[in-house]
Amino acid sequence: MTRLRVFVARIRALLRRGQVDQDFRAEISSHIHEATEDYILQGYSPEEATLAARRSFGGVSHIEDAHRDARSFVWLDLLLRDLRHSGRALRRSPGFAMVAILTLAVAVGAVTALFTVLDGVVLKPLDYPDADRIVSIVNRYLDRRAPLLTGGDETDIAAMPDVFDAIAYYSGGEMGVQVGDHAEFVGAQRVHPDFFRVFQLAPVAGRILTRDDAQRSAVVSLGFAERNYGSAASALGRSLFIENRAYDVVGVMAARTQFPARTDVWMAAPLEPPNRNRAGHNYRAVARLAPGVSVESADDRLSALAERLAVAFPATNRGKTFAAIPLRNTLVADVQTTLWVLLGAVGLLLLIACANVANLMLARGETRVREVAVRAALGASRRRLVGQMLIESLILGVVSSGLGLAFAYVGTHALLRVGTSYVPLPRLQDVHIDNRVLGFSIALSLFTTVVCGLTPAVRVSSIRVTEALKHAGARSGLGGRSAGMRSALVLAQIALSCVLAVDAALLLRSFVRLTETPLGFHHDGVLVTYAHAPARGSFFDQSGLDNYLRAGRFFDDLLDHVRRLPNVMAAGAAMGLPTGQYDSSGSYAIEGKQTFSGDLRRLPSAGFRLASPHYFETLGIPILRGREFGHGDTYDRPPVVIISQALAREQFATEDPLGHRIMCGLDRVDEWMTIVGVVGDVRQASPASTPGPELYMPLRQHPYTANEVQIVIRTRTRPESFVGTMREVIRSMNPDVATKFLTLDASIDNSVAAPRFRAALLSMFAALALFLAFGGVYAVMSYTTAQRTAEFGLRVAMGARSTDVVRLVLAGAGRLTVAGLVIGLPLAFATTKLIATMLFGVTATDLGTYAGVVILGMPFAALAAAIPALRAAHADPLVALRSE
Amino acid sequence: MPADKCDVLYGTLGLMILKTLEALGPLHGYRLARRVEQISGDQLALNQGTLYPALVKLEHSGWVASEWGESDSGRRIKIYRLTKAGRKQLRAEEDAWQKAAGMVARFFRIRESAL
Repeated sequence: MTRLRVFVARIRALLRRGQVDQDFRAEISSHIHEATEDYILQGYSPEEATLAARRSFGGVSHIEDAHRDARSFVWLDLLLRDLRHSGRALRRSPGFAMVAILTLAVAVGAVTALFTVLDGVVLKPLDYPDADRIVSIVNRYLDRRAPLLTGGDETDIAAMPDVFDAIAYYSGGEMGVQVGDHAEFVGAQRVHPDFFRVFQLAPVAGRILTRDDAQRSAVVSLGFAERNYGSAASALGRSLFIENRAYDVVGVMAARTQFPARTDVWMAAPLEPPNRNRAGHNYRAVARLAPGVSVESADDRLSALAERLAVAFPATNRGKTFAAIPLRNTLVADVQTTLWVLLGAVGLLLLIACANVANLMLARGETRVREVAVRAALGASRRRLVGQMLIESLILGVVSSGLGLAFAYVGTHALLRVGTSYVPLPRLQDVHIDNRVLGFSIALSLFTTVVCGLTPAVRVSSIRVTEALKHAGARSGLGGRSAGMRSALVLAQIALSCVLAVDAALLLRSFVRLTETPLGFHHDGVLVTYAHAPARGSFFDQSGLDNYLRAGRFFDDLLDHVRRLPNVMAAGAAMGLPTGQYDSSGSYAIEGKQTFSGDLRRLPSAGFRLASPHYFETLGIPILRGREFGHGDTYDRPPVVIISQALAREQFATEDPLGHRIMCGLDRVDEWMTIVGVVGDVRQASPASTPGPELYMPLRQHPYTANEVQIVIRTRTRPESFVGTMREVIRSMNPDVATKFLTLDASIDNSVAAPRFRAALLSMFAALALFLAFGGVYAVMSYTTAQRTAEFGLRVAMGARSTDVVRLVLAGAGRLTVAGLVIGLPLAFATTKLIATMLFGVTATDLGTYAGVVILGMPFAALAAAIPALRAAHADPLVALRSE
Repeated sequence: MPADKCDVLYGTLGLMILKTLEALGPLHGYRLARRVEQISGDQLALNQGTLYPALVKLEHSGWVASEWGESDSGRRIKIYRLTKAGRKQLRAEEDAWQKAAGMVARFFRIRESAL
């Protein structure tokens, strides 16, 4: 009871410290006054009385201390005093504090931001119930995996008993969806009705698909529902049209459940894939494993099935097996290497930053040896001294981790913003700084400050007071061991930043190579319009064919109209534009060389593209032989084909390809197409892809794949300014056509976004690392030259020229830098294995890059050393000698 | 300070202060110190560095209360007085002290014959 009262009273005293102090001083002065009056009564003179009263009272500050100890918590008071002292010490050298805090904050911020993204994208389990039981099923060949299954294989896989709880095939991409009086170009997937059972997702409104919904119903995303119907609830029961087929909206899914990424409409597909040909790879599949079935045992069952199929259908299935891969792995496969490499880079940056701060603190610790020694001599215990240094580094750590978190917050958002527009980062909706990341970052900054703070603290505590006092005046003495440690730290910084610099330089050169690579087509001033005209029907049914032919003619009419618009230089259309979203490829046979039957995989393969008249002209792809497609190459005319130079070289060598006939598996499988032209090679997927064999066929002769096209227009004005006109023209001709616009330059940019992103971030980290490393060289050189001022003064006094002094200092810095490079360059070479797959046009052993890093780095190292060297050389020898 | 004056026995200063305040009523810090010394027959020299922390402890424990008042000469002074809880505490400590003192006294009365 009494104890509690004392505790409360102490806290109150602590809170009104100032008032209590003031009261006590008043009490002391009244005490002395009373005593003085007593002495006067005893016969002392007033002056003597005052003196006697003071003497009998004793030391005021001592009594004040005792009073303070009695009324408060001693340890808390000490701590507050230490905090104040540390704060003052840090404020006395604001440059040091600022540099240390910023260095740590930037490093901690960068690590946290990258870890946040990595955590959200790669480490965190998917946001579905029992997400680790969801697998995608893929084809596996000897040397690679391929995600698309054939319809026949998928049907057999789905029929396996007791392996899957639910399995669903799906296919789709961006296409036009007609809603009410307008059309929207969105991600749309045809999915088996069990699709949502695989993910065990509940809708925000309505219900999920059931088997009765096949080809009749659809589920839409919340965003789509709100855009087109106002709300989730009002979307239910409404219709949407895809390829002229009506679907009733029966459910609405929350945004975070979007799979595949950027899907807005899921249409219920037939219960079995419509195309069951075992040669056409058209479908992806996801499945939920049955209870008790592991990924491995599912894999075994799939392999057993694949073996049976290989025997039954050797032409198509030999050498092919199936694999179940956890969905997460397939989702993040593309980006996780990039993210791990970046995290590694930023980890190196953090190490460098720590070394830098440790170095700063060591340097500072030495300049404070005298202060510390004096305090030790005055009775400060070692524990207090070490504690105080730790408090100082904790202040640095707390402030810099706070600032680092702010940086991390900004950095994460910047990364994600860049990520969404450039890199296909999956699962972006999962990413936000959570407690684990927060814990990681706090642990990091604590680790950092303890590592940085402990070294000087331990050193200070091991200083023998007398020794320190003796030496602190002189500039030599204690430097030895710590100078060695600090040089080692700088050496490590140089070596590590060398690693970052080499890797960054390799990625940068790859990126420059990418942007400089001739693509084989003309891309500036070209507007791309993705357009989808709905059409529907069967291949064998005349009315279906008429639908598709009509859609095709619409695009012809549209192009004719566009070509007559002012400022349009040329216009054409294609299915499978370079760097675009659509890709198709397959086997082909040349009449007289191969037959198009049996195991198609022994045949040569090429990319399949469709093109309109004037397409090659618009993109400036050169016609090397023969002719371009003309308006006469229509459905009822003999089929024709144009081949790329690479295909001509591969198949015809010196022969003239014109007039030869080709057959391929696009749609008209048993018709020979006559080669009418040879065109120049293009880099199809991105500037990083090698130009390969391509087959170009007229859009009008392949109507079933030609109602969705990419229109390219070369304009005299900026292509972006043409978007409004295009949208209006298309709407006025057919409001059911869905459109999407971008420039060809933007499309190419997007295709190299990942390498750009990597190169940009890594370069930024490398620049920071080099800056820190050269800062470290500068700090060490200034410190050692300051220590050697007297020596230099003596040398100059004895007749050395100032250039000799400069040379002496530069040689020291040179030795440090060379040693750093000797360690760093082999280390860098070892790490290039990690980024080997990201290189383009340079090899990991590219000597020029290594030499470039050294040659570009040396002048900065020299500059960092030259500043203190010149300062030392210009020191007045008299002043220098006196400073001893 | 004369060498023959003894230091305050540890833990007994509080008791002396409480007893002095009970006997003489509210007092100012200086006066209190003088009274304690006088009552001890000038055997005790009170160090102010001991007196004031002791007062803080007594006050925090709630046995002594203080308020600001005026001295005869119109000076602002802090006056300490015994509280109710302090009186109770004084009784308890007095009993404990008497018991302890009586016990110790018995030891001094021991003669060999008593063993």
